[in-house]
Amino acid sequence: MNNVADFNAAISRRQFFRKNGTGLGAASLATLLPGAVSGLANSSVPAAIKKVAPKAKRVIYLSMLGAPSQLDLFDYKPKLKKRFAEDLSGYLKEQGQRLTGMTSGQAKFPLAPSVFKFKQHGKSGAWISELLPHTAKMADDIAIIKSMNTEAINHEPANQLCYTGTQQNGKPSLGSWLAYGLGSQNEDLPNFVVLHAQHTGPGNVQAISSRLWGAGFLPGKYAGVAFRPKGDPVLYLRDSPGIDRDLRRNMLDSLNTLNQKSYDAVGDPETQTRMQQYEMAFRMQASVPELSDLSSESEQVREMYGPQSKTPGSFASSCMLARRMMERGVQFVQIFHRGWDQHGNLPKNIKPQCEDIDQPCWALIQDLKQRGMLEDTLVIWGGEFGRTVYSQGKLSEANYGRDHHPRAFSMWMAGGGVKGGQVYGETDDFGYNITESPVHISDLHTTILHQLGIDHHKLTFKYQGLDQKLTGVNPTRVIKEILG
Amino acid sequence: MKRFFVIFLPLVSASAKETKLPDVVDFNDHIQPLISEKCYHCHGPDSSTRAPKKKPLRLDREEYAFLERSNGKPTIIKGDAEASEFFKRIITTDVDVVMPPPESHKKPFNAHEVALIKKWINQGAPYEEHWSFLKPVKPTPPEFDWGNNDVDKFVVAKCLEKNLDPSPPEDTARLLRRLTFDLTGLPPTPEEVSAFREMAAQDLSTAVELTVARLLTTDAYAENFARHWLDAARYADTHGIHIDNYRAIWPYRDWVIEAFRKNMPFDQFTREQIAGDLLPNATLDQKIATGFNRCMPTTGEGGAISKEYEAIYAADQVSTTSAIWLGLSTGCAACHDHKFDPISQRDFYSLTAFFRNITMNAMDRNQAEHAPTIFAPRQEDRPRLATLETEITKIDKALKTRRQQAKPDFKKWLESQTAGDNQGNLGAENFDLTLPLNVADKHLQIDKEKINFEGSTRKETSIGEVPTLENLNLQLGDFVNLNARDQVTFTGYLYLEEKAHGPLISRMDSSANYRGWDLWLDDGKLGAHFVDEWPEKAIKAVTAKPLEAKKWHHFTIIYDGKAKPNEALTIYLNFKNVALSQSHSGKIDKIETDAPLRLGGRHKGIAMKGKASLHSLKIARQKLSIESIASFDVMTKLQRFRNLPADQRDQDQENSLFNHFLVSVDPESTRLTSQRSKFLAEQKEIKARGSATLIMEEKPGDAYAHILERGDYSLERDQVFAAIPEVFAFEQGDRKLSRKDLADWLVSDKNPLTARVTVNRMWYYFFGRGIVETTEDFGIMGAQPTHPKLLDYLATELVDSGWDLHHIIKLITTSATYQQSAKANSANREKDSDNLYLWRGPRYRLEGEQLRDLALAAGGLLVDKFGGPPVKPYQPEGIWEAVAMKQSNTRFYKEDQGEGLYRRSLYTFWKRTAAPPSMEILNVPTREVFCVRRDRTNTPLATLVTMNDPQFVEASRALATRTLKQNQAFSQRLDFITLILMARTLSNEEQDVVRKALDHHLAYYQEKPELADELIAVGESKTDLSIPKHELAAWTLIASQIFNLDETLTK
Repeated sequence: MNNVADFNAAISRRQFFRKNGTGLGAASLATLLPGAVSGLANSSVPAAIKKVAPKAKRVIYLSMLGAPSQLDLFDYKPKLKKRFAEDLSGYLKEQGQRLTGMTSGQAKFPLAPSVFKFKQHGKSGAWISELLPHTAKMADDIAIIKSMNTEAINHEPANQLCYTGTQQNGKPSLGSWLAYGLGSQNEDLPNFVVLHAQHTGPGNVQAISSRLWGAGFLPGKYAGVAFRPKGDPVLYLRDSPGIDRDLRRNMLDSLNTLNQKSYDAVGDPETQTRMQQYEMAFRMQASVPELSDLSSESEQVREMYGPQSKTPGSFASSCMLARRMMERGVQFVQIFHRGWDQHGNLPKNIKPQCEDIDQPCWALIQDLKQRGMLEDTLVIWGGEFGRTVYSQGKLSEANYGRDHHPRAFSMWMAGGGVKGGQVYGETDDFGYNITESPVHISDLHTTILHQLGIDHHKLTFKYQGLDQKLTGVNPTRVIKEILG
Repeated sequence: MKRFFVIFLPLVSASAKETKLPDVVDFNDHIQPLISEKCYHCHGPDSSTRAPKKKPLRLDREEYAFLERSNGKPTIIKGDAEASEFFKRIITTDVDVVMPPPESHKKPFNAHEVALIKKWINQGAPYEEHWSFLKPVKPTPPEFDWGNNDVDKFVVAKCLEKNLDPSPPEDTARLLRRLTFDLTGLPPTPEEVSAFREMAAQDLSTAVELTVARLLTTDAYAENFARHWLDAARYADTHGIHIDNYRAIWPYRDWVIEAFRKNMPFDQFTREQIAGDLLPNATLDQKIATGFNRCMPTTGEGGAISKEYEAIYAADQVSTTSAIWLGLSTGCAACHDHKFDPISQRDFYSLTAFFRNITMNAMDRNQAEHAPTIFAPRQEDRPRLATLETEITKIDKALKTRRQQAKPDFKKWLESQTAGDNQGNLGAENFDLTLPLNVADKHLQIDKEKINFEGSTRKETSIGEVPTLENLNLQLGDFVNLNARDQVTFTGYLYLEEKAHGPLISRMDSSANYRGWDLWLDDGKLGAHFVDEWPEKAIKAVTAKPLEAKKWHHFTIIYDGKAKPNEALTIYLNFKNVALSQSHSGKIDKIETDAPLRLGGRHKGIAMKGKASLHSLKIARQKLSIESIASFDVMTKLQRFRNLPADQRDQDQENSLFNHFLVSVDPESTRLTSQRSKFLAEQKEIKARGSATLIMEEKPGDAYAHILERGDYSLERDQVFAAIPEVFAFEQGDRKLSRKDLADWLVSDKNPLTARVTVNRMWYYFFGRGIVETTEDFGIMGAQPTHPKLLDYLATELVDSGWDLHHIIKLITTSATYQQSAKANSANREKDSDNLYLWRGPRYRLEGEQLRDLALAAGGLLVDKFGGPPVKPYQPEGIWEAVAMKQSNTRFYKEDQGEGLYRRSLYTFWKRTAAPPSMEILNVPTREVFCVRRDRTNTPLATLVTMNDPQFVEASRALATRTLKQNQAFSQRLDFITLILMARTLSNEEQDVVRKALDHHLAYYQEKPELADELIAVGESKTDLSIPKHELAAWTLIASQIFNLDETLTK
C-alpha cells in the first residue's frame, strides 16, 4: 500500500493542516489539493463550454410568481377606456387561444381597461404605471420587453418552462445550468442561491416547488441553495447547541487526522474530497452568517431600499442580500416573490405587491450602479406569463380580475450589457397578441447565457443518451436588439 | 447547386497509422458509436428530420443503408470505401458537402475515426443489431482458476485483458459491514461481527453464504430493497403539483416491502404492478400493486386542462416503464421519432395507449383518495377483519330471527307499561318552555296557550297538523330571553320539504347588530346563531351536510355559554352527534334582547324561505344528556301511543316502539346488539389503521391514444391502439392489447431487455455502478457494458431461476469479486481509476437513508416497526411553508412525537414539492420522476447534516449514553462506539488521537457546563442525568466525530 504515498506526494500535509488549523480565511482547499474534485461549487467547467467575451459575470433574477398584470404595469392601452365592458367572446373565438379552466366557462368576456394611470418616463418615453413610481424613475436604466411569450397557461408548467426551460419534470433549473457552466468564484459560498421573499398581497398564493431551483439530472451540487430569512440561513449551518467554534475546530482537526490515516491505508480519493468538504463547511459557517448579516449595511443604503429593508425576509432585504452575494462571488441569485395571481380584486390586491417590490428594485439597480457592478451584473424582472385583457368574474368601474394569458407579457432587464432606456416589442390594441419582435422564454434564456459568454448550443449535459440543453431543441435567438 | 468537382485530400492514411486499428472492425463496438453521434440526427430513426427531404437516406438499419441512391449505387459500397459516397463525404474539405455539415454543430470525423470507417467498409461493412436488442444467450464462462463462482471468471478475464490484478479479500469485519448494509441498509451488530469473524476464520465462503441466507430473511432486507424500488416508482405521499396535498398510497409502499419479504419472483412482481387489476380474479394485493402507475405527480390546479394532463401522465407512465424495464429513453419520441433508438413517434403513442384506458380523472381535486382507490387494511389485521365480518353477519341474522319472534314479548311489555310511567330521568318539568306547535281549530298551541293561526300546515301523524314556516315570521311573545353564559338545550322535530333557508325560531334584534339568538337553516343545513355584535362577536355553526329532505328529524342543539366559542355548539340529529362547520367563533358577552320570540322569522322581516316545519320544540336552560333526551322521547311516544284508541294507532308509531323494545328492553336483542356494536367498534378501529390507496382500473373498450403532433395535446393526429414497439416484432394478430399484454410481454422471452436491465440494476446496488453505467439507458446512446458477457450470464440466470432475485443477490455477494478489498492498488489505479473493471471491492458513501438509519441504530433509538402511515421526524422549520399554497394540507409540518421520530427513513413522509431536506442534501432523489441511478456528490451541506441535524446529534448522545452506561475504561468505551459504527476497534495510534480530543472536550465542558447542558438536551428522547453532564457531552461529541469519519460514512 505504500504506493499510495506516491499519490500523496502532491499534497503537503503539513501545509494542509496548518492552513486549516487557522480555519477562517484559509486559501481555498481546492488549490491545495490538485486533482481533487471540488464539491459544492464547481471549479472545473466542462471544457466544451467555452466562454466568449462575457458581458455579464453574474445574474439576479427577480421572479414575480403568479404572473403580474402587464396591462396594469407596463403595457399601456389607452384606447381601451372607451371600450369598457365590451364583450370579447367573438374576438377570443377568432384568436384560437385556449383558455384556462377558470374562465373557459364564462358566458361573457368583458373588456377591463386598467384603472391605473400611466405616464411616460425617461429618454425612451416608456409608459409606466403609477403603481411603480420608483421603477419609473429608472426608466433609463432598464430595457422593458413587452413582447414576452410562453406556451403554458397554468402556473406549474409555466414556472417550469420559465425556470427550467421545459414544462417537463426532472430537468435542471436555469440557475443549476449556470452553476454547471460558469464554475465558481468563491469556494466558500454556493454558486446559486435562492431567496424566498415575503409578500403582502392578500390574493391567491401560488405553490412553488424545489424543482424550480433543483439540479434535475445534473449533479446535485449544482442545485440552488435556499437561504432562509429565519433560523439558519443555510440548513443545518449553525453548529448544534452545545458545540461552539473551538469545539468544532478541535473536533474537525481530530477528524482530519483520522481521515488522513484512513486515506493512507485505503487510498480512496473520495476520502480526500470528503475532508475538503468538512473544511469548506467550516468556512461556510463563518462566511454565510457574515454574508447574511445586514446590520453592517449603512443607514443610507437601508433608506434607499425603503421601509421594509429592516424586515428580515422582505423583498427589500432580499435585494440587499442579493447585492452582498454578488459582491462576494455568488453568480446567480434568484429571488422568488409570490402573490401576483390576481384573478379577482386586481386593483386592490396588486397595490401591496407593487409596494413590496417597486422601491427595492430601483434601489438594487442604483446600489449596483453606485458600486460599479451594474455593468457586469444582469438583472431580470418578470413573471411566468401575462394576464387577460378581459375580466375574470364581475367587472365594475373600479374592480376586475384577470386570468392567465400566455401570448404577451412584459418583463424588464438591466445591466450586464443590456442597453437601458428602451422599450422592445409591441402588442395589439388589446395587449393580446404580439405585433412586433416576439421574445420567447427560451430566447430570454439564450440571451442570459449569451451575456454570460456561453453559447447555448454548447451548454450540454449527456443524459439518457442525449445532449440535453437548457434551451431545448427548437431554434432560439439572442435578443441582440436590447444589448448595448 | 452543389459543386460538381470535389477535392479529396489524402489526410487520412498518414495520421491513422499512429493509432492502432482493430483487426476486425466491429459495428456495435466501433462504428455505431460514431455514426449515431454524427449521422443519425439526419439519417437515423427520426423520419421528420431525415435528409435530404427528396430522397431521405437512413443509415441506422441495414435494410436501408444499402439501398440504391439517385446515382444508382448505394452510398456505402461493400468492400470499397474509396468508391463509397458515404466515405467521400466524410473526408472532403468542401464545406458545402462535407458530413457532418458545419451547421449541425457536430465535430467532423477525426483521422482515427475515418480510418475505422474505411476499414469497416473495406471489410464488407457488416451491420449488427444493437447489442441490447439481441436476445441474451447464456455465455460459457472463461476458464480461470480464480474466485468463487462464474461471476468471478468473467470479471478476472476482463482484469487480465486490461492488465489489472484483482485484490485480495476484504477484512472480514469490513466485509460483513458491506454485506449487511448492501442487503439490509443497516449496520451489523458487534455480536454479529464476532460471530462472523469466527465462522470466517474456518471458511469464508460458508460464512458468507450462511450470512447472506440469514440476511435475506430479515424485514430489514425487504425494507432496503423496497427503498430502491420506490426511487424507481417515484413514490411520494403527496400529489406533487400545485396544492400538493396528501395522497393516500402508502399501502402500495407496504405492498412493495411485502413483495421483497416474500421474495416475489420478478416476473410476478412486474405483472402485478403493471396489470394486477387485470389478472383473473385479482386479489386485493394485486390491485394495491397497481399503485405503481399511480405514483406519478398529478395536479388539481384550478385552470389546468384535463386533456393536457392526461397526455402528460401517459408520457410519464411510458417513460417510467421504459426506463425501469426496458432501459430505453422514450420521452423524446413524444414529439418526434427517436433520434437514435428505433422508437418511432407511433410506437410511443401506442405505448401511451396502454395507460390511457383508465377510469382516473386527470384532476386529482386535491383529494387524498383520488379515484380509483381501494381500501387496504393492514396486512396483520386482515384475518381478524374477515372474522369480524363473518361475526357481524351472524349477529345480524340472529337479530332478524329474534325480531320475527319477539312480537308476543313486545305486546306483553307494552301492556305492562302504565301511561305516564317515566323510566327516563327527564320529565316535562325539566324544560323551561315546551312548544307543541300543533294546529287545531285555526289555533296554534304554544306552551300552555293558543294563538290564532291561519297559515298553511303539514300533517304529522303523532300530533296532528303543524305549521309550514315558509314566510311565516310569527311573533310568539316574551319567552326564553337567554344569557350569553347560559347552557341551553333545544330539542324537537324538524321536517324539510326542500333545502329551506332562514330562521326556524329566533329571538334576535336585527337592528341592534343582530343581538340575540336563533335556530337557523342554511340551505338545508341546521345550525344556530348566538350574537352579541355581528359578525365579530358572534358564534355560528351549521351541520356540515344538509339534512335529508322530506323526512322528520329529531334534533337536539346544545349551546354551552361556558365553553370556548368554537366549542359552544353541539348538534345531534336523530340522537347522533354530527359534524359541524363553524364560520364564526367570536367571544360573546351579551345576547339579551327586547325582541320577542318569533317562529319562522326574525325581527325586521327576515323570514324562512322554503317549506320547513317544527313541532314538539322544548327548551331547557341546562345541558341535557342525549341519552336522557332519547329516553324521554320514547316515553313521550309511548304515552301518546297508549293514549290513542287502538283503531287510531299508527303502524309507524308501533314500529318505532317495537324498535325501542328490541334495542333497550328485550334481553336477547340487547345482548346481540351490544355484541354487534363492540364488533363494529373493533372493525372501525382496524379500518382506521388501514388506508385507501390509489389503484389502476380499466375502462371498458379497447385501449387507444392519438399521436400528438410535437407532443401537443391539442394537435391530435392518427388514432393508434396499444401496441409493443415495432422493433420488437411482437406477434399481436388481430386482437387488441391491454396492460396485461404489456406486463406479459415485459417479462416474456420475446423481450431481450428486462432481464438485463434488472440484473444490471441489482449489480449497481452492490457495486455503485452498473455493468452498463447508464442503468436507465440501454439504447444506442447509452453506455456500453463493461462486461457484456457477465451481463448476459446474469440475465439468463435470472430468467432460468424463475426470476428469483435472491438467486442473483447470492451470485453477486458470494463472488470473490464482491468480496475484494476496497483498498486501492496504485498500479491498478493508474490504469483504471474508476474501477470500471472491478479490480477492487466497492467503496462508496452510504445512501442518505442508510446514514440516518445507521445513526438511529447506533443510538439504540431505531424503532423496529413494519409499514403503516408515513411518519414525520425532525425537520427544520418553514420548509413546507416556503413553497406551499395557503390551501395545502401539507403547508405546516408537524413533527411526530415518540416513535415517529425514530422509524426507518423509508417511512418518512415524502412531500414531493419539498422533500425532507436532510435526505435531499444526501442525494435522495426528489421523486418527481423515476430514478434508477442516484447522484452521489459530496457537498459541504452534507457534512453539515451529519454534524448538526438534531437527528444525528441526538443519536450521538444516545450512543454515548449506551457507551458510558455499559463500559468503564476509555478504550472499552471507544471500542464500543467504533464496533457499532465501523465494525472494528481503533489502533493504538488512532485511539491516541481520540483520547486527545476527548481530554480537550472534557476539560472544555467542565469549564462551560452550560454548553454541556445544551448539547445533551438536543432531541426529544430523555437525557440520562445519572451521567456527569460534561462527560456525556464530551462523549456525545466523540460519538459524532466517529460517525463523521470517512470510514463510517462509507460502505
